[in-house]
Amino acid sequence: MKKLKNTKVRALLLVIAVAVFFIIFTGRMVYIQVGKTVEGNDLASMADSRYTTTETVEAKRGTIYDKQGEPLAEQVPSYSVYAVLDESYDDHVKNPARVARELGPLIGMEPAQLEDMLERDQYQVELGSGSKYLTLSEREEIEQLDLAGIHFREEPTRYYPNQTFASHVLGYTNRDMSEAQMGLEAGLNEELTGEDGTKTESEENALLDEEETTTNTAKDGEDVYLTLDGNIQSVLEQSMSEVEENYSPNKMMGIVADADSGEILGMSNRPSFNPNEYEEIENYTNYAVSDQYEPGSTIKMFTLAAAIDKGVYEGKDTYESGTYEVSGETIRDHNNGEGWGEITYNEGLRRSSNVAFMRIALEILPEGALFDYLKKFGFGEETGIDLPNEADGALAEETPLNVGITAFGQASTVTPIQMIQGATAIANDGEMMQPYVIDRIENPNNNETTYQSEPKTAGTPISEKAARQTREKLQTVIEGENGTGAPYQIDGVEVAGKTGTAQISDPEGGGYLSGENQNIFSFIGMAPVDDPEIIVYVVVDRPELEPTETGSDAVSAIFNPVMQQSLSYMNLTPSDVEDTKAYEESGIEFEDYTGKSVNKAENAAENAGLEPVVIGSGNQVESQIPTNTERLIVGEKVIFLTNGQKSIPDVSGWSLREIQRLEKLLEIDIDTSGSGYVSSQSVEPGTAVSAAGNMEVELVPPDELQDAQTDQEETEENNQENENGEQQPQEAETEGSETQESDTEESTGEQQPEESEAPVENQ
Amino acid sequence: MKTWRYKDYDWLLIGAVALLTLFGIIMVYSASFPLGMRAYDDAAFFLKRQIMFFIIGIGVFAFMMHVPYEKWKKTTPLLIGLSIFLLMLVLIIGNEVNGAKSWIGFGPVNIQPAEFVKLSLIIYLAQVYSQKQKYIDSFMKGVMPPLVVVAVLLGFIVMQPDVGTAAALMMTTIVIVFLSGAKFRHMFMLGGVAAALFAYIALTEPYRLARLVSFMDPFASEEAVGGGSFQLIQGYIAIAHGGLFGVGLGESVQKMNYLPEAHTDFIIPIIAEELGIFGVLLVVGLLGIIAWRGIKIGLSAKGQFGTLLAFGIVFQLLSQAVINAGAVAGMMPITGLPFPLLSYGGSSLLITLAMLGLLANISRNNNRLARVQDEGINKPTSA
Repeated sequence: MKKLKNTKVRALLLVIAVAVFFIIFTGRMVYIQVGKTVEGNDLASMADSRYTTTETVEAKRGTIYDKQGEPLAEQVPSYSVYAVLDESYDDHVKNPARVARELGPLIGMEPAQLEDMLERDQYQVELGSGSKYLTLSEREEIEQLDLAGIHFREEPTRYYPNQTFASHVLGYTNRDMSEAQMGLEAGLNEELTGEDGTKTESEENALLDEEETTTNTAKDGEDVYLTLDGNIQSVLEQSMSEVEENYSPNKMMGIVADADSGEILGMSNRPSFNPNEYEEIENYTNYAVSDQYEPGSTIKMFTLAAAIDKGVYEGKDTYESGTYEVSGETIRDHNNGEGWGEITYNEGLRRSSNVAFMRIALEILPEGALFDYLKKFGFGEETGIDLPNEADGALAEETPLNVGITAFGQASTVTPIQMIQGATAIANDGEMMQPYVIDRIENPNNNETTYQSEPKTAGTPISEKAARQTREKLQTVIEGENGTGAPYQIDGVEVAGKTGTAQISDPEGGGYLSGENQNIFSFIGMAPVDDPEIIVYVVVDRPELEPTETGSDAVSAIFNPVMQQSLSYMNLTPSDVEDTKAYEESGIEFEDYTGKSVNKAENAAENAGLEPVVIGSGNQVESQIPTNTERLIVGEKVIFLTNGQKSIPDVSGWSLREIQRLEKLLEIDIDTSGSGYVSSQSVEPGTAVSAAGNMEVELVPPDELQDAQTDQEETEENNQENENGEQQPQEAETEGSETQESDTEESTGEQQPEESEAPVENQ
Repeated sequence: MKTWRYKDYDWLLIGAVALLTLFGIIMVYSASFPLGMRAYDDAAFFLKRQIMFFIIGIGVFAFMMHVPYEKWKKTTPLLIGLSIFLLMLVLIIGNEVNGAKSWIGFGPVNIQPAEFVKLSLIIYLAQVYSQKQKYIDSFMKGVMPPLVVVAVLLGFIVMQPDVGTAAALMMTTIVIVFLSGAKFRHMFMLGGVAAALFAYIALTEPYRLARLVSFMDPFASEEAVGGGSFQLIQGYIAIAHGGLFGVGLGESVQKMNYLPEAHTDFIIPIIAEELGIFGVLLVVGLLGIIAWRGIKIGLSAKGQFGTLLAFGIVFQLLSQAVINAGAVAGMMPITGLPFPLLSYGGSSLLITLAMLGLLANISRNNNRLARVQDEGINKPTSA
């Protein structure tokens, strides 16, 4: 047989080629096995990153709470809608026309436009801006349409549940919380921001269920509790909104402070904004701390306090009102320099005479004293309130003219918060309190309080006596004859305060704006005069006034309700003001005794620290309120309805909450009026429930419940002071002149002793 | 002449084939159980099928080993005709898997016509070039005519498209022509034309071009999950993770969702990951034994047909191994060709065992002839 030619050689060549290949191949395998790199790429680390997946566990941004623990800014889930179009996915859009028709209106899209989007050749589409940041209820509304292919994605979002509410204090963050933009959100961003955690899953043996998971827990941001009182802020916002609507002022600001501590209880500006719709903000400035302006006559309270403290204020002395000349300038009283003839300084205060205060500043007070006092009251310097962007205001250059006009509120500028801080000295017996809005900051991860504010004294510009006397004088502004503060009278509340009508510096320079309504109207007041608890400062800039209206109409529409309600909130016992949630969490659980014996129920209630009220003569409980689902506080009433004859109980001293429970339990109508606790009831106790008809009850604040007792105490106090022999002659004199001046003015018990004290200082 | 003896069998070849196949079954099981559980809820899904094919494969191997190889000569027209028919059929009724129509379903069994072509083509080329020895120096009369048939077959396979198999068959064809004694000048021409054709095929199809590019710089497109370079890098990671000594049988991590086709064309990296260099050397060693036996069988075959057939089988096996191993080592582009005997795949296993059975038959025939010759010399009295 013939052999193939050269076959051996040729086969050998091929075998060598293949052998060389496999030698190189084996070498390369060893190179990869040992070196663990290919062309410089580290395979080991690539392997590690493949075997483990790391997810970010997002930290929650801290919540901002009000004094009652109600959230003002919180992180909530929101939902975005998207549509899956690809048919390979089970739940895809099957009927674009129907989806467009039904979904369109809910997400603010034209159905035709939406239908176009839903017919695109894409796997999925994001829908318009109206489909983002939906609330749970909006999501549920869409889900109820039962549309195929419509899906939701959950995203954490910042939400401000009260909408326009202390907006400049809170500020805002972008909805996705990527950036804190203003207010406390920005100022406390570091505290509020948490630290994201990670979750690392090792999938080494995923199939054998041996997943290893290491979690680095996210650290949530810290929670901030403010001194803002939700109820007070609410009244402030509401009344400011009303004034904004009725008078369309250029701007407004209102501050409510706790006189004893300097805590800010309410703060608001206009124009304000809803932080949930931050695209529409027109005013980014928190005027309450950042605005500086010539305050007008409200500053006279500090000029007055300075003179009283210095012991040089003689209220009964007279001067010629109208005009006053200094450094060649003629300064006029606000009635075009007409004045009111020769009047006492007391009347000058009530009428807000500029001439009176120029005289005090330039003639009565020693040189330099006014500015010294104003500096001690904190003007010209930041208060240091814990809010961003505080302005400092500026005292004018200390020339006689500037000192003179600063005394009645021009030339030097102030900030609203400085006014509040200064007023605390007058309210708080000379001790000036630094204002603050942050009560405490808590770390939710370990429940530690990382910051706790304390009331902080910012100096003692005047003495206790001077403070009390100043308040006395300031009370006459409101209650005295010809007092400019008359519109700020509040029934049952003694207010001390000072009005202001400031001209506005022409921003173009040179003088002041002229013309109708070109004024800043303001009022700063404190109550009760005896021992003020609340200070309210309201500024309304250039309201549009009808010929029949005055600036104080607008200002008092804010001041009066805010002061009144704030006092009633402050006077309620803490347990009543506290958020129901707070005590429901820590409250007493009480079983339902329906069907059990009355005695047993009564004993159980008493043992639990509750107050049982039994209605009806039976011995078996028919129904009970509150039921076992509610948590109760110590001393709260549990009302048992028995099977026997039922009669109306004595409800005096009951709270509104308890009255409402009674109403529900007895299935009768009870009309309530007032706020606080029941002082009287229209249906006599013991009347059969069936015969009760419509029952009315009147509620009064707790302090008024004890009115009689309080009056007595005051009288005793006055008598004691009057018995002080040394003061008697001077007191009589003072009283006399005061009486001459205004016959109709009530010479109240409180005024007497304090009037008497000014001369004492003199001695 | 007709007496068959135990010692005529090439036990070394049979042993190497059996070992490589059994090792393949073990590794297929190890590499495929995650996929089996995930896709079929049965960790042994691929194992069971591979064992089934192995059992059938034993029968096929035994059958081929006992049919005298000379008989296949006459069947070449039938084999080529059947090949062309199946290749046409697969283009019409084939099942498309991963974008290629390579399979025809017969009830529960899918067959891959291209695998059948491998065997047919080798028999055909061995037959036709052994007859054309007189003209082998002439390109037009000797070398060229059978290549027309090859071109038709490969054309159909490229149309599926299965370029990897076509390339392996092209290499086998060139090897057979080369061993037939064709002039080097002709060989260079043939090699040049083949290279140009494959370059054209590779460069004109974007995804093949992308594979080629990613082969050049796999890490540049590392994130292209599912792409060729992703698979290559996952293979590298497997090899690196195993290290020199491997992480132990069954302990591969890369087979868990990371490395695609771990039980088919990327079984080598899993072997390397679990058994380290020992696994690699075992495979290369067994392949070497088979190749050594095959070359020896070819050289000692009594006829030109037997020689070319044996070489054709050996180099078909080797070229497939080179294309597969070259791909996982990053030395060649990835074509998706299985490693012979090791990788999962019924058609491939059966045809490879058939080819090796044929090789064993040639060997047996050689041995028998040698024995008979010996006996004839030593015991002239009989017969």
